[in-house]
This record gives sequence, structure tokens and C-alpha cells, in this order.
Amino acid sequence: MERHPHTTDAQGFDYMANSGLEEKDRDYVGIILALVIMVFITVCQYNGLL
Amino acid sequence: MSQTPYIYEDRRRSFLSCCYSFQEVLPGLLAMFFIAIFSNNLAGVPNPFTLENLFRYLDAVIGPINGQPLFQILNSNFVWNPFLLGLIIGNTFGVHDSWKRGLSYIHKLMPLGIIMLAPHFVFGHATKAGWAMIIFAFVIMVLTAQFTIWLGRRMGVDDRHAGDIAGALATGDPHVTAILMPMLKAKGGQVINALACVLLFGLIASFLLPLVGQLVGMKDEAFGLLSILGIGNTGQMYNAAFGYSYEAGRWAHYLEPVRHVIMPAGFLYVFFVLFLRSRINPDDPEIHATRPHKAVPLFVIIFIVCWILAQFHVFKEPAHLAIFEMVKWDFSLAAAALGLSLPLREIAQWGLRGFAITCIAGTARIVVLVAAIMAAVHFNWLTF
Amino acid sequence: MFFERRWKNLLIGAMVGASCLAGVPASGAETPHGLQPAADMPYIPDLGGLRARTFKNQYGQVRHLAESVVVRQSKVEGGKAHVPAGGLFYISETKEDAAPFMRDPFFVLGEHAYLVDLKSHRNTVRDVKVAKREKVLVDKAGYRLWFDFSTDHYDKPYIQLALIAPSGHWPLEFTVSDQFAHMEEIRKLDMKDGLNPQLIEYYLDPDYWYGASKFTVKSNDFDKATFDSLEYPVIDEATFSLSRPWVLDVRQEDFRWYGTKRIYAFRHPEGFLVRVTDFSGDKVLGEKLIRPVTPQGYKDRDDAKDEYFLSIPEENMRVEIMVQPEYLKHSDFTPWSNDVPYGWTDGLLSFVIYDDLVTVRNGEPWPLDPRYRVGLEANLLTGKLQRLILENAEPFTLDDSSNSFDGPIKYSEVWNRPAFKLVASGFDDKTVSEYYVRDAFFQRTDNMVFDGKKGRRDIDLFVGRAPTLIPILEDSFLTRLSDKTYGIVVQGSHFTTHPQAMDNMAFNAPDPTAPFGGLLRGFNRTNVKNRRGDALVSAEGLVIRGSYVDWRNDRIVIPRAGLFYTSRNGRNVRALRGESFYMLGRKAWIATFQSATFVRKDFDLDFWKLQPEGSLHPIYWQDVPLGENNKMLRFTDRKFLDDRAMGLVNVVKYSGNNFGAPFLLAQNLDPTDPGTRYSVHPMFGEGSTWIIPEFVGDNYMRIKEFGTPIIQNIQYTYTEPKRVLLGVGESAGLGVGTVKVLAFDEAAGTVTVEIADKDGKAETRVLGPLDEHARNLLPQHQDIVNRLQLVVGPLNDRVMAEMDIEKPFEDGKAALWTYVNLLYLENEKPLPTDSRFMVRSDVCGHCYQLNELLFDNSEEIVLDRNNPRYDGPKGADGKPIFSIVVDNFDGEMIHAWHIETVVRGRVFKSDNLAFNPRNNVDVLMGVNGTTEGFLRANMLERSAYQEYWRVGLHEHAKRGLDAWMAHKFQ
Repeated sequence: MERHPHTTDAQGFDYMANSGLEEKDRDYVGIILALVIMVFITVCQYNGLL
Repeated sequence: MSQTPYIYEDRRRSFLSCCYSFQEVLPGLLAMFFIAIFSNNLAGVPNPFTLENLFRYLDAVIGPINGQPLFQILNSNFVWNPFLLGLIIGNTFGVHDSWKRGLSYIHKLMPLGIIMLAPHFVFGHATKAGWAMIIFAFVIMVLTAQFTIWLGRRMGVDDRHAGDIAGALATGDPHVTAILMPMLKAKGGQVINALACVLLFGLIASFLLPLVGQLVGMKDEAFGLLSILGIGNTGQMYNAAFGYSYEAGRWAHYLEPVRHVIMPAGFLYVFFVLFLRSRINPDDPEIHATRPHKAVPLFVIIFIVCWILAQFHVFKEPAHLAIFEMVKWDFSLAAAALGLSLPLREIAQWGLRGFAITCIAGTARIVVLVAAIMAAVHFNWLTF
Repeated sequence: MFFERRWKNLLIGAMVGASCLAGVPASGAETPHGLQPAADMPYIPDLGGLRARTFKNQYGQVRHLAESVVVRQSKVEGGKAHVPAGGLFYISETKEDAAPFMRDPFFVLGEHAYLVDLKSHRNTVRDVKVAKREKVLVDKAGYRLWFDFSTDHYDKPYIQLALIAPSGHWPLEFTVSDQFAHMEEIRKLDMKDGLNPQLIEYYLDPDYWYGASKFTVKSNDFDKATFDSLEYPVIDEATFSLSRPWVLDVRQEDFRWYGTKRIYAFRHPEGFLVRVTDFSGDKVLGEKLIRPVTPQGYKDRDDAKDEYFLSIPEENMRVEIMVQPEYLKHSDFTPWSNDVPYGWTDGLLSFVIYDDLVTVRNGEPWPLDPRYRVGLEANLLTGKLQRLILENAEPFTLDDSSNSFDGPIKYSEVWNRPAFKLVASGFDDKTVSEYYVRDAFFQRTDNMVFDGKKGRRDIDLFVGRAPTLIPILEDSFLTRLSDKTYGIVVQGSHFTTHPQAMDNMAFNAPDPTAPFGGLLRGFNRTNVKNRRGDALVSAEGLVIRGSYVDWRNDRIVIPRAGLFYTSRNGRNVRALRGESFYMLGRKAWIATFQSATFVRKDFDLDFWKLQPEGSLHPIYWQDVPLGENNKMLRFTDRKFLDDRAMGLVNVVKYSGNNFGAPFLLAQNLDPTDPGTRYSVHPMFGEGSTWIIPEFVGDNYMRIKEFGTPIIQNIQYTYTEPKRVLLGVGESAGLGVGTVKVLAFDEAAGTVTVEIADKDGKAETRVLGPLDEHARNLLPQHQDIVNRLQLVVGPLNDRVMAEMDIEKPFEDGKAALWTYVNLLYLENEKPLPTDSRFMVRSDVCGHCYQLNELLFDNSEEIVLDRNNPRYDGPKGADGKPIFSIVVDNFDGEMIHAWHIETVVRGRVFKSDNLAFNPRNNVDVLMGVNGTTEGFLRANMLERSAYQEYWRVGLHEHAKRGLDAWMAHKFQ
């Protein structure tokens, strides 16, 4: 497989590769963060804190 | 340093394992952070030495074109700036191995940013233009997307690349290339190639469109609509509209929400078309787009849910503005990582065929739009 | 800065006047000093190199600074742009002023400088003659006296003028006349608290005292005036320090190092002997006994200031000693001001050493560039520096072969270079197709020829945010702001969680960003003539104020008094002259009225605070009411003139506009006292409004007596009055009855009149006498007016006969004007034709006559999905004069709404008033004195936004202190 010098480290970790369980986990983290941020901001606004 | 090949599952203990250790990710996160804060004026960072400010200064030196700043016509924005800076750094100095774990956060930031974009598209903002206008814009958008995807296949362009172009061209927003990236599983090079195609075509079209308008003697309001639906990209469509007349420019401002709020429908359309196609043809080796997805990704579903919520004004002002500031942060960081990831040849390797389909589809859209708008105005289907 | 509110009689007339003035050819003979650029000149608010920032001086007082570039009186001819000497100028301005010993900041061609010294004198010009609408030069520097307009009381003239500085700036219009009782006479009146009869005299002085200026009229009539003297401050020399000062603690009997120099301080009973020596201490470079500076203003007097500083010009340094709080050392950012009145109670005595000194002299070349001449303009009130002008000393031309002209060379840390450059190209014989200004950082403005096809016939311009723009636009702002070339300008709202909400908007102005709709069919604006043939503009309008989106309940709220209809004439509406006005879309004639004098005695007036609360809406609460819903008194600003507090007091009208210019009140500033440099009357009196203070402090006044007119009711008719000539015993029909002259006496000026109704029931009265005494009080005094009128019949169906005051007797007969169907309109009562609205007529503060008809909502108005439409007040025909229609509202943002009128069955709609999304429905519709007043209050901001609107750009975000100040005044 072609190795992308910009994205792959010595261990073979390609930071632009995104698949399998790792992709799912990353999605979860992203989704949770997004929801936390949005809920936090929205709740703040409804309570007059913004 | 251990030379054992990297296998995620070996070290996974929970879903949080994808965050890796603090030591591993810090250098990469800092790289993204510094690129981001030197690219854009981000909320909470009073750094004046940003690329955004440099472009603004250069805009002021060059002087406005049709009243619009040049770098806005060139689409300088919170995605473009850090991407450019990342690209320059990556291609000049390379990317140090210690950064790469941190840079992989781009895959968390992309769904994060896409979901947080949802409050930005409130359908109610467009209803002032009337349902006829919205339906008209929607039909044009879908036709453009479908035509571009079809053209891409005919011309043998990789479907991820063509899908990216279709999304960006149809919605009139080059950001969509980035939004579609995780959805279609497009390559970074394809995304940027598509972005360049759409921007370049938009740039040319924004200067030629006023000539077309004059040729057919369009009304100002109608031309405003033409520039929105025919070009889309904010800076470029204003360039076209104000290049035609102030009145057209003002109508472009007024009608812009019509294009804007149906944008998610545009990229979701491209996604679902390509997703269904890859489901229907599981063995077709020509189909790459969305192939790795076993099902509709969760973040797409969450985005749709949030988008629906946004229609009920759940995210009110100024919460929406605050969320959008976070979107800027998010995409600034992500685009920095994307820029770092791309050697220039990876952008070039996708060739000029993308540009060809952009030009053909874009021109065809303009031709159809001119005829349709002229007819619609003539028969009073559209009122301004 | 304050401006006399002045009702434009003729919008178009004023424009023609302005364009005539602006169109004066750029000849060598006529200096452009004191004149303005073309009425349609482009205004560009922002150019990077022209700064607009707010700073504080060393005592924490706020100073708003701004720079601009202006071209005026230029002309394109023969393929060249001609700019006369003084036609191109740079202006650096402070909204307040800059005085020595205050470390007042000032911009000098983009550099942040401090004013350290001033030399000034009071110029006196005698025997100045001026005719109406003229702007006569009064001195060589280019000051002009402008006779704006004249009007009358008791048929005697009083006139309104302004002294225009060479830059075109004037702070306010003053009113004088030599024909009335002097204001001091008011003290002789004996008035009780509450309502009193109309005053007999009209009070107005022949001289106007304005701090450092004084204008005294010798004689005047309606069309010309001769001034005995005009006194105003002139600045001869100013010294700026271009760097932040060095601050070092004073150590007595010892020295501090200042670079390679030593500065010694030896303690003396009255201060310090300061000695500056070279490195070794052997060579004394300068030495002087100086006293520490504290903030008392008298210290900058010519005879006092020498004691407070040591200046060594050869060493380019100036040393002062002041009390400097430790934490402020090396900083010009002063977070707050403290103490009474200001200054530091706590701190160390410190040397303050200014270097990089530049001294400029009025009328002399700019030190770095002899092509430019320096102008130093004083604040006419305080006599301190307000503007630095650098203007081209010689005329120049631009054409396609030499298409740019450099601005003055600026001082710079890096490279002294032209501060800006004026570039013009694309010349035709009489037009130019492109011109712009490029600053010292090479940034440029947009092409200022907005209509490329037509081009421009001059290269006049105004770039930047210097407040001088406001007086410069005086003649043209209404036309500019109502210009529909770019549609109705709608500034998008800033959406917040906490809408600005008030339950009653009386005396409050609308949102400063409220769209101005200009003229719309259905709101009348026409000339009406009185019996004398005087043409007066009569105009109707609509104002919505204080409305907001209540996003928690998905609705738009217009609070009480938030929506009002206004009808106003070019001046007050007078009885006995057959004057007419518009009443809810229909022309009406005034018959008679009832007014009184409202007096309030012995009350406290606090200095007005305007501060934002947590949700950043500016709030104030110190208004003192003057009668129920009549006027409010507001102590809006204060200054210290030779350390005497001087307060500026505004009378605020029900509509939210100010009545005239602010009143200056101060004690012990009598010009005969040699101890002060200022003249301010210890009381205010103009026409029939007066204030006699007992004590004037810097944040408090005790008012001994305040008086102003109040109107109680009017009677009017929609039927045009008729003139009848009746001999003795002759009668004429009057409605369903008759009017009969029983007798008359031409010599005595009396007519005995009998009015009989249809049943023959008669009322008789002797009208008059219309003699010399009566004529001296006509047409304004209601007692005389009532004596010449006979009104009979049931309320709202009365008839009236009045003597013709112009020609009471003709061909041996008595001349009467007859009125039928009189309608009664009482203040503070519901509008008879629509009880949802209250009558809040406004009275002329000078003359007791009707000034404005104002009808407002007595209950909150709610607009939501179910009620998207609200009809305005209904007229006599039962139809609303306008309706407001919300077309698109999503519970949070208003995306489309408009105003609708129906004229002869045709529907007229305004443009979308939420073209950019808005969070309120505040609006100004129609053009009359009321909407004009609101526009005038934020003319600069509106003009600036108009330019953003033109090209669809967003306004720059304000930062730091500017952002905070914006919250206070938004």
C-alpha cells in the first residue's frame, strides 16, 4: 500500500485514514462533543446567560 | 520508539481510546491550534496577526471590485485560510511524526462541525421570498446535482470527486466539499481539487454573468436571483450581482437565504444518491463514494435531527451565533489538519476532468436558469 | 455637540439652496473656507489610515477622536479637476476638546499624539452685516456667519444663525433678536406652581453667550441683520507631543535619570525647583520652579500656565509634575475617572516628561510640508483645541496625465511620508469616472464615482468619521437619507436574548437603526398657504419606537406610546390666519386653541446617567416631568469652564425629540468678571420657556423656577373657512344658522356680531377692539385671539365668526371669516375618531401655538401569527390612515413587514422594512420635523451605514472602549 509521507508516521498510523471501529469511536466523540456544546450554549441562552 | 504496526483495536479499551494519550496528541493539537489562530480571527483570541487580517489589508490595498473585497471573491474564509496555511507548512516543512496523532482529531472535528452547522440553516429565514422561489431553487439544485453526478460518470471521473463537485456546485457553497468529505469518504486531494474547480468556475462565471444578464436584458431582481442560483458562492455571487447593478446586488442579499437554507438538502441529496447507488451495486468497482459506510453514519442522522430541531427555532439567537463561532473554531482546526495532510501532487493527481465537468454542469445550469428565470418572470411565476 | 433643531420648511428648497451654495465655482476669489462639499458628495466612513478611536485623558475623561479627508468646492472642467486653495483638507477632530495639562489625546496625521500647550486669544469682529441664507466671511481665517432663517413672534422678527469655522463646522444655531424683552425680565414675573395664564411678553436677548464666544446683534429684520460684535476664540499655536510621556517618581533633593540627562527636584514651599542637566550633572540645560499640576482648568490661562511646566525646546522636552497613581505609570489607558470632580486623590508626585514635540501655528505652513497650511480651530464653548486642519495652500488640478496629489507629509516612527493621496482618473471634458483616496498604508477607498455611466462633475468627498460631517450635511442630510436610489436602507438588528423592553415609550426616541421610509403616498406632505400667502410645508408621519420581539412568546410587542402618528407644519399653526394642517389624511383649518404656562418651582435635577445594564441596553432614569405628558427636563452634559460647573439642560418633548438646542446654565460666569474667560447666562429664557437655577453643580442642579407652555385643546374644521363682508344689519348663512353684523366701529376696531342657530336662538358679542394694543400681541396671544372670535353651539358642532385681522373693514362693511362644524380635540383624551389612540398635542415652546398633533396607542399592541396586521388611527371617514403589516415573522426574527396606505382606493406599500432581518418594527415614516429630529440625532451613523448598504458590506465590529461607548449610545 502506498504510504502517504504527510499523514503516516513510523508506526504506520495514517492520520487521514479513518475506518472501522476507530472511525466509529471518533464519530461518537465528535457527536458527543457537538451535542454537549450545542446543549450547553442553548441552555445558557434560554436561561438568559448569553 | 516501538516499530510495531499500528492496530487500533489492540489498544482500545473504550470508545474514548480514539482520543489517545495526552502526550501523543498534544503536539498535533498545538499545530492545529496555532495554524487556526494565525489564520482566522477566532472568538476569544485577540490575535491581530492572522491571515484573515492580512487578506483584509490586501483587500483594502487592492480596493474593492464591484464593491466587494477581492479575497472574498476568491472565497477566503475560515476554512480556506487555515487550509492554505497548513498546505504551505506541510509542503514546505513536511509534517513531523509527533503531530500525526493529534492531527487525527480532524475525524472528530468533521462530524462535530457538521452537526453544529445545523442551527445555521433555518428554513423560516427563506420563506420571505415565497414558496415559488424556494421550490424553484430546490428544483435547480437537485437537477444540478443529478446532472453533475451523471456527467461525472460519463466522463469517468471518480465518483467521490464528482460527488464533491456536484454537492458544492449544486448548493453553491464550496464548503460543501469539506462537509461531504466524511460523508462520501472522499480523499483530501479530491476535496481540494473539487473546491478549486468550483471556485475557479465561480470566479470566471462571476465576471461573465453580468455580460450574460446585459445580453438578455434581465431585470435587476431577476439577475440577483440568477447570481445566487447560478454561482452561489457568497463573495462571487455578490461580485456578479453588484457588477450588474446595485439593485441586483441588494436583491442577491435578500434572496441569499433561499439558497442558504436548502443547502443541507443539497448535500444530503448527493450523499443519499451515492449511498443508495453503492448499496444497489455492491460489487461495482467503479463506485467508491460512501462505500466504506455500512449504514448511514450516525453523525449524518444526528445532523438531520438537529436540522429539523433548528426549523422549530430551538437554537435561538444569539445561541446560534455562539454555536457558529464554535463551528469556526472547529473547521479552522480541521482545515489546518487537512492542509497539512496534502502534498500538492495529491491535489493535482485528480486532474482537470473535474474542472471540465464543473464548467459543463455550471454553464448548463446558467443557461437553464437564464431561460427559466426569464420565463418565470415573464409569466409571473416568480414575484419579487 | 449639539444642534439647534430646526424644522426644514422646504426639503427641496433647502436642497436647491444647498446645491446653489455648493455649486459656487471654484474661483480664486471665493475661498472655500466655511463652505461645504457638494450636497451629493460621496461619504465613505472608513479608511484604515484615518483613525477613529476613543481614548481617555490622564484624568479618565473620555475623548472621541477621529480623522477625515475632505474635498470641497472642486470642479471638473476641460478634462481637469480643479481644487481651490483650502479645497482639500485633512481634519483631526475631538468631539470634546483638548487642553494643556490634561494629557488630552489627539491624532496628528494618524499618529497618536498628546496636546501639551496652546496659545489662544479671543477674536472680536465688529459690524458684520448678513442677509438671510447668506454665509458671509467675517475674518481672514475664513470664519463665516450664516443667517439660516428668520421667523416671527407678534409679527416681529427673530433670527437664527451659526458661526461656521473654516472647516465647515458649527456647534449649534443660536437665536437672537433686538426686538424683544430681555430674559432677565423674566425674574420679575410672579408665577404660581402649576398652570398660569399665557405670558404677555416674548423673551429673547440680542446677544447669545456661548462660553468662550459671544454674538451680539445690533439690529435685525426678517431678511438682514447687523451684528455689533462677534467674539470667538482663536487658537494661535498648539504644541503636540508625538510620544507617550515618560513618567518618573519625583525624589526630592535628588535626581532621576531621563535617558542621558538628570532631572533634579529641589523642594520649595510652593513647588519644586526642577533642574535638567547633562549626564554628568555639571551642565544645566534648564531650570525652573514649577508647581505640581492638578486638574483645575484655570491653570491653562495665559497668565497662570507658566508656573506649571519647564520647557526646554533645544532638548525637545517639556517637564510637568503631577499626581500619578502608581498603577497608571507608563499607561494612557485610564480605566475610570474618580474623585470630585475629577483627578486623583491618591498617587505619587511624578515627573511627566513629554518629548517628540511639534509646534504648529495657525495659518502657517505645516512643518514637514509647506504645500499645506495649518488651521487650528477652537471649541467655541470652551475655547480649547477641537480641530487641527491641514489644507492645500495653493490650488491644484488633476487630470489623466497627472492624476494624483499627495496629502501632507506625516510624522512617522519609520518613514515620514504623505499621509494620504488623492487620485482621480478617467476624465472627460466635464466629468470624472474614478477618484479615490489612498492612505499612508496604501489602503484605498472604493471608487467614489458611484454612477459610472454619469460620472461626477466634481471630486468632492468626505472620508472618515470626524463629527464635522454632521454640520456639513445640515443642508443635505434629509435628501441624502431619503435617497431611494438604493431603496429604503434597512440595517439588520443585533439579536440578543434580552430585548430592550419598556412599558411606556413616552419621551423616548426610536431605535437609532430604525429604517427611515421617507415619503410614502398616504402620508401627506404638501405646501399649505395661510391668508397672508405664506407657504408652509405640512407633513404627516409615523413613528414606531420601543417595539421588540418577545421571542419567548412568539410575538412582536409595541408598548404603550410606542406607535404614534404625527402631523406637523413648517412652524407652529396659528389662529386668525386661516392656517391649515393635516389631520389624519385630511386637510383641516385651525379655529381656536387653549394654552397655558406650566410652572414648576424648587426641584432637584440630577445629572443624567446613561449606562447600559447587564444586557447592554442603555438605561436612564433621571428625567424630571414638566406637566403631565408635556415635557421632560434632562441634565445631559456638563463642562467645567474655569472650574465653574456648567450644565447643559435639554427639554425633551413627548415625541422623544429635544426642544431646540440644550440650554447652558452656569453661575458666576459673567463676562464683566475679569477672573473668568467665559460668558454663560446664569439663567435661560427664550420665547416663553425659561429656567432659573438656584444652584448649578457638576452633577446636580437645584432649579428655582421652570416655565414652559402647555396646550390643552384645539378646535378645527375640515370645511374651508369663508370670508363674508357684512354691512350693519346684513347677515349670512353659517351652517344651519346665520351670522349677522349688528354694528361696527372702524375707528375703535370693533364689530358687534350675532350668531343665531336654526331655532333662532342667538348669541351676541362685540369682537375687538382690534387696536394698536391688540395688534402688538397678534397673532399669538390667545386672549386677544379669543376677543376677536365668537364661538357658539354644542361641542363638536360649533360655528365661529372671527374678524379678518388683515383687512377688517372693506367698502364700508365688516369682514368676517366664518367657520362651521368645529371639532374639539382635547389633550390627554382619547382621539374622538378612534379611542385606541390618545391625543398628545405638542405646543410650541416659544409661542403657545399648536406645534404638532401626535396620537399614540394607549394600550400595548401585539403582533403575532394570528394578528399580523394593525391599523393606525382612523380618521373622520372611519378608515385607518395606515396599516402595519407583518409579512414574515418566525417568532424570533422579522424577515418582512411593511406599511400600507390606501389613497383613493389604491393600495400603496412601503418597501420591505426588514430587508435585513430585524428584531423590532421601529420605523420613521414620512418627512416632518419629528422624523427629521430623530435622523439628525444619528446622522453620522446612518450616513455610514448607507455606504455599507450600498455595497452590501457589514459594519466593522467596534473594539475596546469604542465598543463600550457604543453600548451607551446605541
